[in-house]
Amino acid sequence: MSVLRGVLVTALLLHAGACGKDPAALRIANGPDPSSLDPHLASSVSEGRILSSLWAGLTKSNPTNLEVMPGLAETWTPSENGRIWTFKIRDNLRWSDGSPLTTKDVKASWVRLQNPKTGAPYQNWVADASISTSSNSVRIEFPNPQPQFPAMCSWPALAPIPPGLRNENEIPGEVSSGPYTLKYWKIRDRVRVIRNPFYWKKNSEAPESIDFLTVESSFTALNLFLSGEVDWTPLVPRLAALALVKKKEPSFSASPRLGTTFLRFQAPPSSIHDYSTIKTLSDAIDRKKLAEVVGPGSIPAISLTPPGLPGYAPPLPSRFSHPVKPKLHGRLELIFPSSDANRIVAEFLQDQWKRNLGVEVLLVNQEWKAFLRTQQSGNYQISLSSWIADYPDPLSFLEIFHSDSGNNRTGWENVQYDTLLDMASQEGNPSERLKILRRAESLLIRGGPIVPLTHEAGTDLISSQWSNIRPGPMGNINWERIRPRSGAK
Amino acid sequence: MNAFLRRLGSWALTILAVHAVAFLLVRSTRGGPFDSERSLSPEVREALEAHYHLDQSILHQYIEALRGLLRGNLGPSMHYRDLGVWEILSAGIPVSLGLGLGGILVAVVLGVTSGLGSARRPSGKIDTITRWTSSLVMGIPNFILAGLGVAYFSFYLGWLPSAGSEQATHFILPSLALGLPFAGQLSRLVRAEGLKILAEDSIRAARSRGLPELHILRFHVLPRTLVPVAAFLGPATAGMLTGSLVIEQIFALPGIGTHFVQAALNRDYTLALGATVLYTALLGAATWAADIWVSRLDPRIET
Repeated sequence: MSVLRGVLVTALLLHAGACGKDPAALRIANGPDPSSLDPHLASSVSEGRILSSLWAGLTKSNPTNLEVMPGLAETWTPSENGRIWTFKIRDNLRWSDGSPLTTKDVKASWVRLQNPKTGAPYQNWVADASISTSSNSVRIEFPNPQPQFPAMCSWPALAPIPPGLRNENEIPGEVSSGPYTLKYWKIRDRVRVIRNPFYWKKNSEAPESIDFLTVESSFTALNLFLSGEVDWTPLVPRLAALALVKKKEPSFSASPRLGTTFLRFQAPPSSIHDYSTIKTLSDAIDRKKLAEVVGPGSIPAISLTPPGLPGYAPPLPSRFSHPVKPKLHGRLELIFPSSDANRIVAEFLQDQWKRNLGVEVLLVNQEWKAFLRTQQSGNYQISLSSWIADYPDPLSFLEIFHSDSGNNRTGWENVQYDTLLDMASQEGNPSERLKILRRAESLLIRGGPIVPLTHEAGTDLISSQWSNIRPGPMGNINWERIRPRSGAK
Repeated sequence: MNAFLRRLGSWALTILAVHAVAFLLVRSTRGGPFDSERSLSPEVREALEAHYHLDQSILHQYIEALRGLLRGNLGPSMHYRDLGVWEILSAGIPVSLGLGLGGILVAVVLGVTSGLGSARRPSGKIDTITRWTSSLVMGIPNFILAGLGVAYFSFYLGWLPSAGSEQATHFILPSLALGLPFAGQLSRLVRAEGLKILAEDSIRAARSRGLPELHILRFHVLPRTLVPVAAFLGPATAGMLTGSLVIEQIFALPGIGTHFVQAALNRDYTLALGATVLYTALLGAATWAADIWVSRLDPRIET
C-alpha cells in the first residue's frame, strides 16, 4: 500500500505545483502557442494578436476603416512617388524598461530584418531598401515606389526591437514598445502580458494584464467562454456559430476579414484542357449557398481581393457562361488540407460539379505540410487555397500570382499580368496605381488559374464586460482602447 | 545487481533504437519545418536550413542528433524559434505526470474498491451495478467521457471547471476521463481474482472463526489481488500516456502530450524526436517500476 500512498502524495504535490495563478484582468482563448514572440519571426493570425499587444509599429491601423494612423512615428512623407519614405519619430519614446527608443533602434531592426540569417518571413518587404537616420527621423529608400509601405509599418513584422533582442541576449517581449510588455510565457499554457508604463500613448484605463491562453480546440474555447473562464475567444466552432446566430446571442459576432478562399488550378494546358473549362467549373458553383455552408459572416467571392480595401473596388468577372460539359481528360482531383472546415467546402464543390455539370471529382485530403509540398511541386489539378491580407492593399493578394512569386504555385505565367503589376509598382499616383491593379485582377479572374469561392469572416465571442475589443477586418485590435464597460467590473 | 544492470541496459538500448527509427520516420515525411502558406524567400530558406544543419547529409544529421542525445542536449526547436526542446518538454512534464498519476489513482482506487465489492457478493446489487458500469466506461472512448463530464459537472451542476490548469480542481475531470476506462478493466480483474481467493479454504476458515467481512477483505483478499493490479499498471501507464494526448487537448492542459502530435505536424524534427525519446524513457521507467512492485508483492516473480 505504501506505493499507492506514494502515488497519491506525488499526484497531490504535482497538482499543487500547477495551482496558485491569479487570473489576468482580460483572458483570451487565443489559439495555438505562438512560434515566437519576436515580431520579425512570427506571422500567424493568433501570433499577430499577441505581437500587436507587445510591439508598436511606426504607424497604426484603424481597426474599423483601416486608415493608417500615427504610431511611433508622428508623421511620414513620401518623395519620388513613394520610392523614399521619411518617418518622423516621436520625441522621448521609451522601451518598457525605460531606456530610450531611438531612430537608431528602428534602423538596426530593419537591417536585422533584411539579413536572411534572421529567418524572417517578411524579409522581402525591405530586402532591397537602404535605410538612413537623423536624430529624429528614419529614411527608407526602395528601388521602386512603395505607396503601401506606411500601411505595412503598422504590422508587427516591421516593428523596431530593442538592442537586447537584436543581440539575442533577451527573451522577446521582456522589453517591448507596445501597450503591453511580457510578464511570462509558459508554453502550452499562456502568454501573460502587463501594461507597459512607458508606452507613448496613455493607456491607464486598459486592462492591467492580459492572458493569451493556449487553446487549440474551438470546442474547449467555447466551453471556457460559456463557463466564464475567458472573456473573449476568436475560436468558435462552426455548428455553435450557426446556433448562436439563430439565437441572436449578443456576445457573438461574425464580421468580414480581408481574406479569400479560392481554388488554384494547375495552369492549362495540363490535365485541364483550357481556361474555359475553369470558367465553366467556376460558373457551376452556387457561391451564395457555399457561403451559408461555410458559416456566419462568410460572403460569396467573385474576385480574389475582398471588399473593404481602401480606395479599391474589385473588378467584376465576365458574364456567366452557359453550362456546357467541360473538356476534361478523365476525372478531376481536388486536394485540400485536412480539416473539417475544408472538407465541408470540398464536399460542397464535389456535389455542385456532379449535379450541375455531371463531372466526377475525387477529393484528396492531405495533412497541412504535405499539402503545401504538393501545392509547391505543382503535382495537382485543383487545390483549395486561402490568403489573408498582410497589409490593406490589393497588391497583398495580386502579387501572389506574379510569375516570379514563390506563392504562385499554379505554373501560370502571364506576361501582361506581370507587366501590369510592374507598371503599378512604378506608378506614383495612388488612384492610377489602383486602376492598374484592377486591370491586373480583371485579367486574373477572367482568364487566370483561380476560382474565388468566399471571402472570409472572423467569428468572435466577446464578454459584455468589455468594450472596444472587437477586431477589425485585418484582425487588428487597438489594445490601449479596451475598457471595462461601466458597472461591469 | 546484475538484473538491475541488465534492465538498465535494455532500457537504454530501447531508447536508442526508438530514437533511430523516429529520426528516420520524421525525416521521411513529406514537407519540412519551414514550409508555410506564405513561402519564404529562397535566401531566407537557405539561411534557416544552414542554421539547423538541414543542408547536410542525413547520416551527418543523425550522428549529430545521436551525439546530442548522448550529451543530454536535444537541440533547439525548429518551430518555437525562441526555445530549446528540453525547455519546452520540461515545462510540460509536471502537468503530464500529474495527469497520469491522477488517472492511475482513479483507476486503482475505483477499480480495486468496486472489484472487491463486486466479488464479495457475486450477482448481488453491487456486483450487477459494477459490472454494468465497468462495461460502459470501458466501451466509451475517453474523449466522449470527457465531453459528458464537462456537460454534467461543469455546465449542469457547475461544480468543476471545464478546462484550464490553474487550480487542483482543474485536474479532477481530466483524471476521471483518463482513468475511468482503466478503472473498468481493473475492476473486472480484481473481481475475478477476488472470487478465486474468496472461494479458498483459508477464507472460509477465517469466516468460520468469526472475523468481520471487512477485515477479511482488507487483510486477506486485498493484498493478494494487488499482484495482478501491479502487473496491469505497466500496460495501463502506456495506455494513459497515449490517451493523455487527447485529454490534454480537450482540457487545454499544458502537458507534453500535444507536443508529441503537434511537433510531428509542424515537422519540428528536433521537438518530435525529443518528445518521442522522452515518452519512451517514461514508458520504460513506468513499466520497470510496476515490475519492481510486482516482485515486491510476489517474490517468486523476478524483474
